[in-house]
Amino acid sequence: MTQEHPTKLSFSIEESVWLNKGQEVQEIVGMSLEPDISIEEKDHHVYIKGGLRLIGEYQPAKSEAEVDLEKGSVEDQVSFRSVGDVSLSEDGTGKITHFFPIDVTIPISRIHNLDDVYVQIESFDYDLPEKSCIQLTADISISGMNHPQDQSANRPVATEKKADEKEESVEPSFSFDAKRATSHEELVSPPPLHGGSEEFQPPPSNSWQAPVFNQYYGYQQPLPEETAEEPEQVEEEEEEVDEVEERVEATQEVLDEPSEEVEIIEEILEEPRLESETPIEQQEQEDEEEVRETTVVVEAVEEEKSVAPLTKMVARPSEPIARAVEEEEVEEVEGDYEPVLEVGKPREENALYLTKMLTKGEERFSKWRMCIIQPNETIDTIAHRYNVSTSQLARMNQLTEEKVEEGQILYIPVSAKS
Amino acid sequence: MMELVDWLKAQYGFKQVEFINEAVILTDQGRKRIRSWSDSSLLEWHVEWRDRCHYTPIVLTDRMIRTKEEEAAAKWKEQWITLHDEIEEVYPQLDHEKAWGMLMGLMITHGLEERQLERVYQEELPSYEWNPMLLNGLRDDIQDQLIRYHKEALVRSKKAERIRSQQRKVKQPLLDLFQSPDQARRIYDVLIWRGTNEQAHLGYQSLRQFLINWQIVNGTKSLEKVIASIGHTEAFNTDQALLFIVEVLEPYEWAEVTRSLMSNESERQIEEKLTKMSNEWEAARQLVSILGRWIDDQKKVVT
Amino acid sequence: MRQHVENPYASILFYYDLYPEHIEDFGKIKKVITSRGVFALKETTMNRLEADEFIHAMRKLAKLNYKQAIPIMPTKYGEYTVATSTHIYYVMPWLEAVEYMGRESQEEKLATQMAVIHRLTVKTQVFDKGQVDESFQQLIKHWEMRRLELSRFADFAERKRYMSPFELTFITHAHMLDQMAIKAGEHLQNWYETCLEKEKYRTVLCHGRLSRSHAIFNMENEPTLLNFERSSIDTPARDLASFCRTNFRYTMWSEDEVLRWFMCYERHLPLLDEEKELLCGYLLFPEPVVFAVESYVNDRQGQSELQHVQRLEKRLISLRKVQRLSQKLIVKQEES
Repeated sequence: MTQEHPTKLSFSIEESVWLNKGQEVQEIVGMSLEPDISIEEKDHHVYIKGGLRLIGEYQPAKSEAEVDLEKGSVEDQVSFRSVGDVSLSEDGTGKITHFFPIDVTIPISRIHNLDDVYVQIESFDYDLPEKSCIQLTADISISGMNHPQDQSANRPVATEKKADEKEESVEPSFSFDAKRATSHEELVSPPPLHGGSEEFQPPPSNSWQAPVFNQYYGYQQPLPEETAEEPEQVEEEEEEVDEVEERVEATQEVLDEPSEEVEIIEEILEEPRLESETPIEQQEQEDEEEVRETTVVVEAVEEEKSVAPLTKMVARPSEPIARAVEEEEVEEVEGDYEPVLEVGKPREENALYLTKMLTKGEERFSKWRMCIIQPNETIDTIAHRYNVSTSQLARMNQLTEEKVEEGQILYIPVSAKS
Repeated sequence: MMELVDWLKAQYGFKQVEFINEAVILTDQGRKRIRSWSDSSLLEWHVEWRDRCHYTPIVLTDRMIRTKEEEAAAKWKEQWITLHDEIEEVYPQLDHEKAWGMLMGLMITHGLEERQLERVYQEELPSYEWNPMLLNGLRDDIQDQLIRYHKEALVRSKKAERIRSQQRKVKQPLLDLFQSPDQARRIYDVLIWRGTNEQAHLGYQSLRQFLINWQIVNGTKSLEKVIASIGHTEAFNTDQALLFIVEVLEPYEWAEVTRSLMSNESERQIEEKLTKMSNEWEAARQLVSILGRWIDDQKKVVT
Repeated sequence: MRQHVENPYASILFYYDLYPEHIEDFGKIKKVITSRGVFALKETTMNRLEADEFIHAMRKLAKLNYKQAIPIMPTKYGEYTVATSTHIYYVMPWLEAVEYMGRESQEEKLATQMAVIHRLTVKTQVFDKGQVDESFQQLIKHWEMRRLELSRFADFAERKRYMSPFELTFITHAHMLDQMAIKAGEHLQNWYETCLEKEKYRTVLCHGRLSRSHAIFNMENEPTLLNFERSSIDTPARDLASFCRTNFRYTMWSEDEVLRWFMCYERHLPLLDEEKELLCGYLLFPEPVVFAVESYVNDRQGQSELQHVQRLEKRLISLRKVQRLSQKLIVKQEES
């Protein structure tokens, strides 16, 4: 049982991007999230640094916005453009870019070959809770890590703080400590270095290219009527990770049972908060049980290629997404989904960065899967695969009838430890 | 004609009346314009606004000259006849913005008062019918421009619609048509505005066009002065300014071009209209901006 | 071009289709020479309300076919005044004054015209006790205030060891003035009581400031009255009283002359007893002296002590005459 299995470190980002006044979104034309990451080995650790660059194109809401005499300049609100300022290509759309920093440190022991380390954006969704805010949900995975299987002890949740990591987190970034990514590992101290540095070939450059994940929605996002107060300093957010608290819930790996799930939460006292969930998946398991354990994947069976199909996501009404998420949360609460990720300290909520999800307390730990319907799949096959009832699926997804079409996205409720 | 001459002498007490042309007579009290009316309620409205919109000795309208009986109009056969001053010298625009704005402000002020008119004219919203297929065959740069304008025209139209619905409870002024700056004549430095005998127009559409042309002829600074002067009049408040903005935002000028395009006119015709329109577009842009700024300035005054 | 005549009045005259060739300034009156004749443009500081009342009075006289008021010309738009932000203007035909050659005095002629206007406009008002009470109380109060001012000035003067000539003159007559004020009050009381008893009173259109300076006499020695700007609907006694007070000086304070005015007047409109009472009250009350004192105290006109004394003396003389006159008026009434 000392065989090493490649594993994946997954986490999700939930982030609200507040737009400046006059940038309010009427309709998202397209949005892409591109990793811009370097992977580098140093002092027995692999540092995954960089970030995700969000590039969004949208139809500004300005043209639709009510003129609010109380707020802002009327002149700005009513003005229109010279034809010279109208760009053909932009289609009059606005553009936003936003950078999510990522800083993950992995002990070199967990890495077999640096070339195998990939950062992937497994899923990506957004919501427009209000015109001036884009709420993003993205699931990121880092693959290419070893999965030592010789550890057998069920480990209690452990907390660890590392001074050097703190130092590393001086620069604004989210910081994840992925060292404890498996349940079988000795958690008290850093795991021994596996494989040694001689096996390790750092990538020749920082030129790692993640497949670009593009999601194009052709639908209209209905907007709330009122205009949001816009918090400022979105662009130059200073993210400070004060403390990284790591909790690992370890379980004996048994087939047909939910595999171990390692959840890493960092306590970030200074907002913004990033939630990350980092379940480890067993790549070798291909049965449905395993699939079910994939916290955030589009289609677990195709996991390795999961980046690709997402680009084919087709238009679907957005409203169901939002509602599906909500229902999802409810469902999980009802479903006795275990709050594995207990938060050690009360969260400091900085209103400026507070996301909608954060305000909902535990619900923010909700997980769901998205599944793109493949040819010949029916709602029944999906339901069976994920071990949920057909009617539940229909209800979650606001389907008027129990029928799905190829390319449609279904949200799959994740039942706890089923 | 002689019959009319004698009748005019009798009605108005002129010693001498001589027709210069169909509508203008020369009397011992100067040149007078004759208008005839068949709709007495419309006539009444025209008498009313002309009588009310003056600020001595800066602005005056071509009020109805009273008959010996002190009536504003006199019945001649089946219609009503009115008599107005006919002044030759055209009133200047540049450096006379205050008087112009005052005239407009007075007309708006009066136009917002209670009135009883059965029929008023309201400009219909134009259609911006658009078929990209018809772009085919046009020169690339023309296509390019048309597409850009089309895009922004829709933005303008939407924006106008939004403010319009927001302002739907605000009363629109009933105005006489603004046709041409030549309607303003000068005597002793008084602006004498020659009204029309058209239907009363509801809203700012004709003033919009008038001021767009103003910008094209006199520039933005001059236009700003006109708006400032309108802004000093009693009834012109931010709600009215927004109604005005709605009319300017609405890309009426663009409709001309789309019509030309949709009716498959020649490239040359389309280009001509496009060029003319682009001037108006820019002028409208300035006008919206000035009106918006005026509203912003009002806010500053309040706080 | 005539359009460029730099004259602020030209734009007003345009309202009349009058295109001035020349404008001569006579203060508030501008003589306007045009191809259509000579006109007078009057510049006033009336407010709109006063202007409306003025025009109302003029139109009323015109309607009553009274010919001896100067006609106010309508603008070509049928209005009788032109208002700017600072002034109100009106236009009349220009009348050239002719030297008065009549046998009667000008005031007799004017009194006659006043009576004619009063007769044309006289109206017996439906008795409204509230209104009569109010007018009465107001006048009483006004006179009491004036009386108080006079006695205050007397107190002030008496406290001084050496009084000024003006003060001395005033003190000499202080008692008489006070008696006149009391007498005036009595007349007013009489008017009031009679009014209550009769339950009616009369009003007329009062010119307000009729005098030879507001009239132009023609070749026939007949006056055309000007300046109805202060006109109002009021008791005839008031118009008569102010007429007497204003024009007394032209008669060298001859009571007989004043009595002749009344005769002229009463030929057209005999006064009622209570109106005579009221007239006596108005005439007796030493208001002109109050003005003289006020002027002395404030020295608004920067006049010398001598000038002040002279004015005071003139007014005292005139008041003494009025005293005798009023006795004659009342006596006359008792005789008849």
